Amino acid sequence: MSGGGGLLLALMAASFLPAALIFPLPEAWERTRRTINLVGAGVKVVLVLVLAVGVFTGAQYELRATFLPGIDLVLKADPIPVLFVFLSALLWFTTTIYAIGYLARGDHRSRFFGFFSLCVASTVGIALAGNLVTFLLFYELLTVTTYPLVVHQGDEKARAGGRIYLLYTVTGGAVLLLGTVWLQALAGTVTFGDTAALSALAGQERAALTVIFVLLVTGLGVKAALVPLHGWLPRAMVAPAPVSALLHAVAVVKAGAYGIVRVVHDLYGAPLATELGVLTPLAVVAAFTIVYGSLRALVQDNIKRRLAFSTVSQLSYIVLGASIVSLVSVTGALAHLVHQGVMKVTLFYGAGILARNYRITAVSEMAGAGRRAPVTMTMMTIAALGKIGVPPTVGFVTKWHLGLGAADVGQDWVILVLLASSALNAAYFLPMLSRAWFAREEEVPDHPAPASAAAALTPQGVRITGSSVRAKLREADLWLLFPAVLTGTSVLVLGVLAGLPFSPIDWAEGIARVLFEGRP
Amino acid sequence: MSALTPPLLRLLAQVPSLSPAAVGSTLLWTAPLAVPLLAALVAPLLPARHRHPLAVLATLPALFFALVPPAGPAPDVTWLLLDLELTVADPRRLLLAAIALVWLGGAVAARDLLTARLGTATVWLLALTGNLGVVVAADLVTLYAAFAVMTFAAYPLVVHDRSDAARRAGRVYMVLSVLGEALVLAGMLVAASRAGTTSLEGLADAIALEQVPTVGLASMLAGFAVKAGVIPLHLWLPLAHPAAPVPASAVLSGAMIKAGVVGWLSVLGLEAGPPGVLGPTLVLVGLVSILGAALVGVTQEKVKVVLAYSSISQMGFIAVIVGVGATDPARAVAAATAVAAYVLHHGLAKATMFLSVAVKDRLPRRVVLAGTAFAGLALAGAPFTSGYLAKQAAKDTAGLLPGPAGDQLVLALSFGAIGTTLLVARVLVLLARAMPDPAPPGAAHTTGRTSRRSGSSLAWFGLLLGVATATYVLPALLTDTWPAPRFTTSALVAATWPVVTGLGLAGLGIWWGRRLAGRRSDRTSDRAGDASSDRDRVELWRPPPGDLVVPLEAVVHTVGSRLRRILDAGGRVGARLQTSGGRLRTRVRPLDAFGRVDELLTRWRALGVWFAVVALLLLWALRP
Repeated sequence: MSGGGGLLLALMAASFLPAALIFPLPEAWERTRRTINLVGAGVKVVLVLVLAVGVFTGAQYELRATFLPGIDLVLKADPIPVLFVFLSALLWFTTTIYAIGYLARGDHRSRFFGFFSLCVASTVGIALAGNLVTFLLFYELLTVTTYPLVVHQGDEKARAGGRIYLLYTVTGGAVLLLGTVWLQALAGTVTFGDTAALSALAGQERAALTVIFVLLVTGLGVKAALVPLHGWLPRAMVAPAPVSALLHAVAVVKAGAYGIVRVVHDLYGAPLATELGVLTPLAVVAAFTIVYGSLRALVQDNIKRRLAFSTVSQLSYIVLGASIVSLVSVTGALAHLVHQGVMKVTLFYGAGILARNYRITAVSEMAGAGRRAPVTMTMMTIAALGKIGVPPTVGFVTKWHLGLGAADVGQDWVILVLLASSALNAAYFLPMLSRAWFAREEEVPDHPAPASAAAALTPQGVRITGSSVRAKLREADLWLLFPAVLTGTSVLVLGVLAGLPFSPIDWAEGIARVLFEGRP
Repeated sequence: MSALTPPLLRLLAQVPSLSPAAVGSTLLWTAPLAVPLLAALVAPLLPARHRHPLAVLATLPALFFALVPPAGPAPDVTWLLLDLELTVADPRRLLLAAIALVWLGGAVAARDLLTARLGTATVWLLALTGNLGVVVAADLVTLYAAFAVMTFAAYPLVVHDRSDAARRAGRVYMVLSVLGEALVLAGMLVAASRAGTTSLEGLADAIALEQVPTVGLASMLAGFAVKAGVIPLHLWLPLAHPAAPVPASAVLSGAMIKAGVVGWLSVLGLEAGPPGVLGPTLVLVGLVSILGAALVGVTQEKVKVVLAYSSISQMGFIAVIVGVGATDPARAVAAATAVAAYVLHHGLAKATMFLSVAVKDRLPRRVVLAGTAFAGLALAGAPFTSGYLAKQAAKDTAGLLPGPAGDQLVLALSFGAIGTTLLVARVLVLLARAMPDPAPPGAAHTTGRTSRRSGSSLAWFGLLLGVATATYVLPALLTDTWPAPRFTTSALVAATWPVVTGLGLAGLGIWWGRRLAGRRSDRTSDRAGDASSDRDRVELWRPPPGDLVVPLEAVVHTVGSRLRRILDAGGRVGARLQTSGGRLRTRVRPLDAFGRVDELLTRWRALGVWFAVVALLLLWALRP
């Protein structure tokens, strides 16, 4: 059955069309560009909602076209893709709003928003890809369309970061291509979800399948920032804050982690992967990455660099959960796709506001940030506590499921890794928060006047009383603040309401059930 | 049909649970937590002067709930957290009342604190929510969530003063708390996995069937012990209590550290018979805490530090009772009830004594000293105070141990009461020293830096009333298992001799100290002339507040700086690799293409348009 392909087409078009319209716009047409951006993002959210409801009520969405002889391009809305598309649609929406506010007075905005749209279009393609070849196509597309965003600032530092980014991701893409081609030669086109196809080959092609797995995961591991393939990520921090937010929450790194989840569970399938003995090494690499990333984050003074190493660490929660064959931990891994997204995007929104409006870019400069930007810091605090795994945030929900799942299958060492990570997360996030909120007056550095006119209304160092809350809300304009508040509160709300049907964890559990127990 | 229809059906299945009765029951049961939580969210939006009454009122639902729990079974709120379950099974009603009373007293006294900064009322109310949640939680996730909320919300209270000492205290508090939380979580994950459920009942069943490994239980026990502050996990307590503002110290010591004890009772499954080693370990830890904290505490020079050590010592008493309860399921009920009564008694007495520090500038000297002495006597278990009944229940539980062990333990607890009395005497001496000689009438009012209507006097008197009466009323009212109190001669003597001995020793100590000081001032006055300011002080070696934390900090600092150097080196290796990569690039021309790509950027907009248009055309061609 391949009905409903139109919806998928519309979904792709909702991302491509804004790009085509925005690129030719003159720089000065801010209002038009803004409208196109928001309409595109809004339409996409609506389409994804329709898609989600459709998938939940049993409709099938598939789009198939011949790409090369014998190789089809397939877009297919399975439950996992819908989860990822949903995440990207929502966070793209908030990030678009944020980016509009952030770049309100920047240069090359048409170029920026054009590639921004293309980047998200690629993410949708990655999410919906029905087989490895389609996945690869959009994966490479993502690499190319993200590059202009990374080097957006255009100075030497940005270009250097961009070079490193390309060096890593193009090489990773090449390795992924090698694995894909080999698999194609070996087994023909294998649709995601059809794990029987490879299992049938396990008898005679054991070695080849193992090597292909390693190639695929290595290629994907570059974007998923598995140590030692993570080097590009902290350097890509030269990008503007909205790009970092998108890069870290949905687009690039998530594409890698998502790819690994699909390769393990939708291509090889847990039984075959276990039999090949590739999951335990993957879990160990992920565990090492979790601890290593946290340790490196500990000594970074630059806020965005600290967050970058934190991303390295957190992404591997997903990989770790996916490589433990237990329903509960796979549930945790899938939910963490969403959970990590909302937490990290909030932190980057916050870091962007601090950098842009208060010229705070380093942890050592954060003294008094809580008093000067209370709403921003509240949201960052919630997200940071989520990263540590403090209940009732979503970070705790993830950690609980990963740990429980690992204990269920007797891999108790994973619990130690999770706890070490929590402790390290606390060690690098809490000093930040403590400095921002509990600094003495005399420690608050004298900063140049806030960049935004709205923020300039805020007198510095004034003790906050209830009546001045309204004044404090002007710490940044709503374009910047609204997305941060939205994602920040959802870090809490999604955690508190974790038991509600359709919460990320509930959704993830449904998917994991399908993976483990087959379709009912 | 898709595989994912079930969630939709489950969502629809929730609809029947929206009946008025079910909603009412859920609201009623969650009110003790929901009200303070909502108050926490609302507090920053209110004018400062409204935050104090808000914090006071927020404790009332819990108090009311403890006195008149709703009829019918607790609802199972599946959509909150990971399946929220609540309980008021014995002795939780008593515990809830005890915790709520201390918070009520603290809130009344906290007017200045709650209005000083925008966020303080919020964190205060969040800590309250967490603390109450720990008491009524009936599943592991809710228990952990409440525990963690309380822990993190208490941090701003500890560092409220922003002084270096407060921040050091906050740091030590946070490090130990994170460690404790990690231990609790690790144990919970193992326990929940082996038990196959998160409900405390299910956990107890699994413990009875010996499915839960001892190491899991021990991990939870140790994690909660950090909060309870028993030796050797007490390090944060003598730093945090003095650093926090007085009302915060009162609730910290009176209520929050009890969350550790409630945690023990919740996860240990006393009635299921936890593994054999845990009970004796707890007893041993408790005895060490009773004795060690008393020894260190009497040497201290600040009232709040002595009170903190006194809390450690008292938590030792509680640990002993819990430990005895864990040795045999037959002793479980008596132990749990005794613990709850002890929590009530210690919470009120300790909160009163902390507030004495706040009221010493407001009330006449004699009143303060008399009230503090009364609370102190209650703490030591003197007859006809609330402590008398609590100590009696504790000793009765200890006496349940068979053979000589029971008698010896009872004797040890009596010796512990001597230590308690000594600490109380030390508090009184320090308090008297901190207050000037009876001030001329009227002068006392000018000394108060803070507003006179701070509420601490009201709270102090209210709590004193509680110290006098609480254990005579509440345990019998709120539990079914409270034994009838005994006022026989032997019981009275058993309660009196440790107090009298302690007072005697204290008197001896004070006399000896005066003599030493007198001798020294004779010697020094020849040279220095004026030594009278140090007249009644004796320079003995005394452990610093927080005792072992001082050498530990040094070790952590050394290890930390080493680690940092190693990590920096790791970063440098990475950087060197990058530069050698760069050098490679200058030699290998093709890699320069990356550099040239930059220049293409200006033309990329045109490229981008074409790309997007082609993509759209392709999509159009693909239309089904």
